[in-house]
Amino acid sequence: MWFLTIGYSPSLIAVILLVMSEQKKYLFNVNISQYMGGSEEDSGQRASEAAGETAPRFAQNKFYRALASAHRRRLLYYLLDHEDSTVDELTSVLTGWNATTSGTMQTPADRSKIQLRLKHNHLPRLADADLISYDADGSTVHIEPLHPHVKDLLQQSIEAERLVESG
Amino acid sequence: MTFASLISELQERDYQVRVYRSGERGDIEVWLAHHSVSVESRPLPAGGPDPFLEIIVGGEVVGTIATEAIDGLLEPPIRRHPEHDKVTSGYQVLFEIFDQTVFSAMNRRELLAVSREIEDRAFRVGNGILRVSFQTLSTFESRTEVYRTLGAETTLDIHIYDVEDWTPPAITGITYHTDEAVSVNSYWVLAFDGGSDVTQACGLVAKEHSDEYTGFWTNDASMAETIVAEFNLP
Repeated sequence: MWFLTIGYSPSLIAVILLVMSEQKKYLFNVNISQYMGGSEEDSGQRASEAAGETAPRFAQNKFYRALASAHRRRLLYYLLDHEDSTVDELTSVLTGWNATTSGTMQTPADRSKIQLRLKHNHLPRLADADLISYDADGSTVHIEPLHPHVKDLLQQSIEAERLVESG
Repeated sequence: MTFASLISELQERDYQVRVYRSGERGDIEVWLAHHSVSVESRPLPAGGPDPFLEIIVGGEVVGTIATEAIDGLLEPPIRRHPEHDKVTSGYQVLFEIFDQTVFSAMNRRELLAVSREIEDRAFRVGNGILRVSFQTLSTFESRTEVYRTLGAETTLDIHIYDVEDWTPPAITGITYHTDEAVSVNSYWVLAFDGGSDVTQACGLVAKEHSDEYTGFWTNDASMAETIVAEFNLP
């Protein structure tokens, strides 16, 4: 059996290499067509050139950082439905959402903590990733057009959150 | 300050309930509307959070709670769970979220449910002053056993103020007041000062209008104190 293994090895390696290179090409294609390039430190120079003028998003760390909070995903999910909102209304939604998951009453102190984080963390991060825009005075918060994949992701994230809660 | 002015002052506040929901009007929204509370609703996305409500006083949100947490607590049939702790947490929420909210068209069953929370708290603390008026001593008759337990198992100083239309049994710890009953005549009132735990202070003031009641309950120690003090006035 030993000689058989030796005998097959070179061709096996060749096949693996071929598959790997195909895979790489496929991945690279996806990069170009779907991930729209980007200019942040981790995005490849080639991808960025290939993407041309399209809005950078999927290749940006700040996009993932913006989505790395359940509160920010809840905000986007709400905004998908409402498009335009205010800081006050979004504070109410986040506070109410907390009330429904905790089952406890949210006090004015809880609410102002949430509003503080909204103004100084959530909104700036979402705006930095070009997912929303808002007025400094908090009178308007507007969601930017989102790629269908992002919408799906938000939908799934909110669904998963409910499953975790009920489970 | 009379019981009447306590109610009317609270009634004049800029008070509103805002309900957030994605589906149909829920039971609590219907209940609030039937009890003359101004309710506004705002839409939530389907698949988003469960419905919740906000209490807004003078333009400020003073409390937010899941609708589910208070749904059914005041709708007949009012069933109190035999396990004290569970029941209490539900009623505590009701006291917190609707603190000093004036409801109209309340019925005796609803007032009894709220009264029981106050009696429960007094029982659990076990000391302090509890002042009660069920309007007539014959209404008190159905509560005699509860008060016998309160008198026997606690060191509460209990005062019952009612119009005399029945001779109540002598119970340790209970003082009956019938002479001064004029001022409490058409009011259903309970006030517990919290005893050694002021956070447990609470009260209820409701005025009867042709079989229905308009009034409020409170979780607030200073308001409970105001109600307690009111009993002493001629």
